[in-house]
Amino acid sequence: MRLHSLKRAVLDRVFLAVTASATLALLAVGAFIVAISAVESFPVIAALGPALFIEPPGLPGGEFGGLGPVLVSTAVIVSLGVLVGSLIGVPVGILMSECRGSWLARAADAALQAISEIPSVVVGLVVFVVLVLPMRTPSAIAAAVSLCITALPYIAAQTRESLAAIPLSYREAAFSLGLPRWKAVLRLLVPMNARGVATAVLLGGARALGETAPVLFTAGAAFSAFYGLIGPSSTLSLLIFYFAPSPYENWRRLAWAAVLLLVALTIVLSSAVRRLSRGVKM
Amino acid sequence: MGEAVRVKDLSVWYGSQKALDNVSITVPRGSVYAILGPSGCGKSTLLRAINKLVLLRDGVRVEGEVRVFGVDVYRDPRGEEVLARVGMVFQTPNPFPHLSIYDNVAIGPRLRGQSKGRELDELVRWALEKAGLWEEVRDRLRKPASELSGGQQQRLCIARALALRPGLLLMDEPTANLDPLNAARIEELVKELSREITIILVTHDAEQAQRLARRGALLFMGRVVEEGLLSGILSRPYSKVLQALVAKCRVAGGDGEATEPLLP
Repeated sequence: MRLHSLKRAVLDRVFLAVTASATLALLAVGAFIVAISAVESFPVIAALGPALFIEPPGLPGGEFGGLGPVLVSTAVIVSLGVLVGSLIGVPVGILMSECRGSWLARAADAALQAISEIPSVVVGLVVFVVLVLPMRTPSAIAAAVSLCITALPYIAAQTRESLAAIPLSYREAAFSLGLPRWKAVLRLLVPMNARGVATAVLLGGARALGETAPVLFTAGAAFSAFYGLIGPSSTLSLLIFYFAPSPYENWRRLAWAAVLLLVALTIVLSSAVRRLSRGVKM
Repeated sequence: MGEAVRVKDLSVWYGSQKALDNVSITVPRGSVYAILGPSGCGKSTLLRAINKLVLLRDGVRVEGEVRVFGVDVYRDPRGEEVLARVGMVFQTPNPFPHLSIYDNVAIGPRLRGQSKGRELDELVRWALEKAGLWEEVRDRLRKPASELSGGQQQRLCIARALALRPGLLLMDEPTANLDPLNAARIEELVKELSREITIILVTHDAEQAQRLARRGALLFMGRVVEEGLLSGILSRPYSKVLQALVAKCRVAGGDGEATEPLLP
């Protein structure tokens, strides 16, 4: 009997030790990523100050320069991608939640599943073939289309989930007003769930901001200026991809500065998502 | 006078579970009609079958006929029009959490395009006065409805239903979650409203049913056991009636068709 309880106590301890150390390892990885980006990029950010957000990158091996044009094109590409992604993704999410079980909703579900499971580099390649080749140039538009496709499944799925989470009693109240179904959904349930929709859009934004593969062949690599929607362009993640392994000290430093900005933006976006989704009170 | 609602041979399934079994009732116009029965007997399902809210649940199947003011709401295209004149009040107060007190009442007529501006203001005031809430909220109409107390929220939900100018009001245990004082206020309201509106009241409180209604039906395990004058249905004490039903059901081995749990 004593042996049995001893065994149980030991097993308990072992279980706790294994799960706790795994959790600690996870925390260490997270802290390490943030710490390394901060340590590596802090000197360059401190040295550059506001110029970081304005100047274009310096020549290879020369001055630091800054990330100005890249920030502009990132903002344009990501906002455009997420805007179009939301214009499609939110209605799709509404349909999937409110017409559950219809063939259209099931087809949409399957399509989104497929898109989210396809490696994002394939999305980039497809947009390359469909847009970049005919236009004979990589462009901000092509990059935005790629990011839009990548963000779409997240926006639609989050919209659907948040609508489906509206308690039945509010749903019944909305439908007890004798309104046509589309009116009850669009004018009552969706506004009631405004935070859920905002969460979906921000989630898509966080997703699009971090993706590199879809913009590899579509954005181009124009880091020194913003050439408009149909000119070659770039994003923060793309700059990291090209600058970090380069032999030039100033470019490697800029890549680290971009890393910190990207990490900070992602953290801000995802904590906004968490805050919004927690604040939905019914 | 005529009938407000006639339900004929109505059966409702949730998936494979039969919640209502061949139910038929007739609700005369201009009265309060009580639907009595223990928890889980199908009262709420019957109420929701009348205004088709039952269709919001997954895997639901409805058979039979429901006529509201003479129109078959499941088959007649005029059903939508008729149901626009049916209001509902729920067991738990459920004002829309993102809307103000005013908008909670105004939203129905506004979205239906029935009235706006001054006219809508008048309608909101009328509905809130009818629901006995006007004096308490007239100074804070723009405040969120969630700031009101439970009893006030329930009266707000009644005002929301009244703003539809309903000919029929469905009430699903509207006092079940209220303290006795607020419950008494709602009962007073029901009495007053019943002079103009037909009301179907679901309740498991037999005394409340007798205070408010003359006619009604007793449901048990998805079936109508008795329908008619409440004085007849409740000629014996309600608890005795239920006990007898449960005992009869046990003896019969609970014939397995209505699979709802018996009593709480």
